[in-house]
Amino acid sequence: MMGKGEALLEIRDLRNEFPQGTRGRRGRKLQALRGVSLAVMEGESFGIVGESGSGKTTLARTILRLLRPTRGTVKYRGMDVHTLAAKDLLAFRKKVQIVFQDPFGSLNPRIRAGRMLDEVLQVHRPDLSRAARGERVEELLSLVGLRPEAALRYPHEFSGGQRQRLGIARALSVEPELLILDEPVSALDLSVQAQILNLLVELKASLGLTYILITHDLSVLRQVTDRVGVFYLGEVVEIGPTDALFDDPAHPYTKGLLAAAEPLKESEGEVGQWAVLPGEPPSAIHPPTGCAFHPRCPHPSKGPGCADEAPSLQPANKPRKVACFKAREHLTGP
Amino acid sequence: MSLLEVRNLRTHLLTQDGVARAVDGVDLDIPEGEAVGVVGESGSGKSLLALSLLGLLPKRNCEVLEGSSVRFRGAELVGAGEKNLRRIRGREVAMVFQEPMTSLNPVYSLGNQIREALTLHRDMGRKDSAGEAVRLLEEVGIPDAAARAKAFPHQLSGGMRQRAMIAMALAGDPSLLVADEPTTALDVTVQVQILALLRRLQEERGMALLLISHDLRVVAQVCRTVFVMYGGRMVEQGPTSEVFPRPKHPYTRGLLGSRLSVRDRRSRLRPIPGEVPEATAWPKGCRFHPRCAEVVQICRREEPPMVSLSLEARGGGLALPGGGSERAARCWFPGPEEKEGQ
Repeated sequence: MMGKGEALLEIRDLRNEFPQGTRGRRGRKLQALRGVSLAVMEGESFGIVGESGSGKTTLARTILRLLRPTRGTVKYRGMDVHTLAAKDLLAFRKKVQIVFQDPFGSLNPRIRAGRMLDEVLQVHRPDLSRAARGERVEELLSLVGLRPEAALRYPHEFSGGQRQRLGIARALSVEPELLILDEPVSALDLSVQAQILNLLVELKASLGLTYILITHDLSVLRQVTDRVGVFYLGEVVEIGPTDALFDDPAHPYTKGLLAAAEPLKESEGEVGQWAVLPGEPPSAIHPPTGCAFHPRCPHPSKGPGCADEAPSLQPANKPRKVACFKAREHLTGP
Repeated sequence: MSLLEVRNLRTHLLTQDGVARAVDGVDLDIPEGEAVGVVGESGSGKSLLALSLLGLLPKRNCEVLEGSSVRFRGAELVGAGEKNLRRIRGREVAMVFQEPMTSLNPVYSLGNQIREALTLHRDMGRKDSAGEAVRLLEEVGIPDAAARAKAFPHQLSGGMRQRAMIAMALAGDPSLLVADEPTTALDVTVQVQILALLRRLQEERGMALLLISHDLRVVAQVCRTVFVMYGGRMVEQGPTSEVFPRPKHPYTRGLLGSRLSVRDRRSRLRPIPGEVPEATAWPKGCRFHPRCAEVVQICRREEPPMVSLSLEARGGGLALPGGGSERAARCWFPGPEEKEGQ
């Protein structure tokens, strides 16, 4: 399940800012990404977790070149995604695909499932004959657990889980290497979530895919990822192998997230014991000074430090890194 | 006598595909001062159940069927008429919805919206209501409440908005608060805060709480009693501390089995096959049978009654309707005591 050790995607100091307000009031900027660096290895399943406003969706869109970054680079197999020439761009689009949270919002309601898949193949696989495309559509449907008859149905005739299967089939139709899954199960019922997650795990193994899975749900990450990056206000605050990070979180924010997602207690009435993280994610227009998390941190250092200076991800040469002055020692210690 | 007694509640609605039997024979008891949870997936009928209680359904396409009964302090609410219902709504039974932004009026300050409720439900004058509005905002944990009372909904974060909604619901000093997915739209760390708040308010005020959620965790952490809803009916009920560790209905077991954990990685999840059927065409027999792994002949033919499991131990028998904390399941073969870890 682990990566083959080669970076498929390399993101360096990625920043993305969106000017706010009208022309008269320039200067206010929403800082969605505030200097993100990370690498995704070929064959691995990399998870990104964060609350609303943490920049996870902006990151996905910037990787896909649906947004241009303000600064920084995204390299796919060593090539800068944002300076690709037109013909390389088409090839890139085939290699990197996305599955959205709400499959209904991303499927054309007036086109039957079969024709939708067929159109993708017409663009990306001009070598296929009409008959070959038909076979491929059937193959794709069966790959995601849909019957061949599904090709004749419109999106509204599918249930939520089936629609998500269709969204996955569409992403897979161009035989991508990297699949970005943006909250792929958040809109689904619990019993259906598990079906889709099982499908994703199977597909990754059988097709040798690389995943970037974006979610706010830690339990989903634990299930299907090898490594996780924790995002807070446009920055990575902790990164490392999933199991190690979940079993022994270092950053106070990761700890708070995990505490909020603790499994059911056998007895009721445990609310009082929850480690409740105070406050809410701050505004990305006016991020706090120093460490962005310090206003919510249960143990900020007194005196100068957390409020003045932003901690960098340390230790640089280890697989586990944390952006916190205090938690650093936790990882570097014996 | 329970504070709220629901008997054989049936709410049907007219859809393009025919009559949807969305709520189809629900029995539910909420004792005074208790926290009761209803868990169900989308399409189970749980939200429509909440709206049915106070006659909040659109008359155009919804109908509460004859024979349905919702009694609040013994008084029948079904068919009680708008005038009588208005005396109950807000004052006796208040509601909090999922998305606070759509339930708050964007052009009135929070203080004004709460004061409107205070004037209406507690006959307060201008001066008293202003002070009380600030006090309510304080009670729900809004810092700097006096200043926030002047703020408009768009100036608040999601969590603060939900707190303000709760403050507004408390304005009428209700004896029952119905909260329909109150934390679903919020971030994980904020969800926990709101749940802790609901639990504190329920205890401090001695207020009954009906918490409706798709999230087992939410209900487990706040409610003493839980009802599991499927196919427009309750399929299992009992004390939370017994239902979750020892589920009796295969559906409850399936829900618990498809739940993910942050604690460990499972080699493969055990989802319930298929999806919730349409309310226009519930399966014959047990409504869960097409998805049930333990299905046998009788399940396909005949719908099981809600069987009391406390009585079963003494030789079996049908459950009396309702009976909040009574352990019961709607299954011909209420399950083995499979131990759910954690």
